[in-house]
Amino acid sequence: MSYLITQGRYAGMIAKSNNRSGAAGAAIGPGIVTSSAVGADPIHQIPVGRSFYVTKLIWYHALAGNVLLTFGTLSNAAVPAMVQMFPVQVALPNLVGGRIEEDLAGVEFMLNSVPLVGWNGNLIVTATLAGVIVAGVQISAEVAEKL
Amino acid sequence: MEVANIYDNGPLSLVARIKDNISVYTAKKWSHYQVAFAEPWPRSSPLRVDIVALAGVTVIAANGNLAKRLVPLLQVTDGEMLCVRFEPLDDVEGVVWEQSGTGKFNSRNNHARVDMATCLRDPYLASTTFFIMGYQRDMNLEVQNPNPVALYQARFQFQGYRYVLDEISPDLSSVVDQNGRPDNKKQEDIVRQLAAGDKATVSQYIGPTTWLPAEGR
Repeated sequence: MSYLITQGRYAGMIAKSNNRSGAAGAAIGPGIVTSSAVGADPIHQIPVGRSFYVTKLIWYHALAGNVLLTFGTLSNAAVPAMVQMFPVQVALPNLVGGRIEEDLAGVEFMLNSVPLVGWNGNLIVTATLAGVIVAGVQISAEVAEKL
Repeated sequence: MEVANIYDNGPLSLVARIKDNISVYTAKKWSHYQVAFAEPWPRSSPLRVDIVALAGVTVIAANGNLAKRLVPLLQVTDGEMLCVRFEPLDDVEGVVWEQSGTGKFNSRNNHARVDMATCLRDPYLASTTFFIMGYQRDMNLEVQNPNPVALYQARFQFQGYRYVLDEISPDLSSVVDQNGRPDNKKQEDIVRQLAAGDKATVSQYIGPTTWLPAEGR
């Protein structure tokens, strides 16, 4: 992702608020999100009238085996529940991993409010281990909001 | 006579020097003053206010607002004028009201706000400039939260200049009729012309002045 996208052309603003954690994102505001066994855990929600780019992702877990992290946004349709925005990331156990801005494609998280087709634009993550959605993966995200 | 360059995109500077005249548009008429004293208000912690704390609440609700309220640190006495710029330090939007009923930065169909991105394209915050003149003419600040989560702080930082002003009472004793008696009708007309901001009349009876769109009411 181009540095210019967040720092130049769009005059991006780094914001780390709006993170959620716990089951179904019940806890609001902490710097990290801990995945739940439900999946589609909210990481960053777009404020009214804005969009954003993800500029950094880091993760850690101590589960027995590699965890696959799928980042995307919630679909307005029941199926599929998630609109995937990045390729699946592999989180190795007991090892901090992550992606910085230059590693990530410049995907703009933007609201598409078409019913049953669009998406809500919020960044969510689902963690799976051997095909099962798992809790306990810590994920921290940094984004550049466009406004 | 000049129009103050207060909205130019540069650092805020004095709009008039000590002993200069200023003509201020407020409540739909022009008033004329001489600057007696001026001093800067540097950006610092005493000029910072958290509207959440000021409102006596714990959060500003998700996508909610805190109703407009008086900001005590910006209250002045009669004869004082503030020229202030500001920005939010948290991800909220500030809505300025002159006193409690008249919007600032508004027009018929909108009321502009100052948010955290204002400084990105307007680094000196020139577009946030506003004035406060005198006792009981306080600015009110409303806060909007564009985020879908509640925020625990809504801090605003102010900076600018403080002026002490003397109102100018033009000497109209020379305005007399053919018999050398005070020409009340003409004097009243001059006072009316001064309030209307007639440039020739102001030039004659006030002298060189700087025109300030201080309130726009």
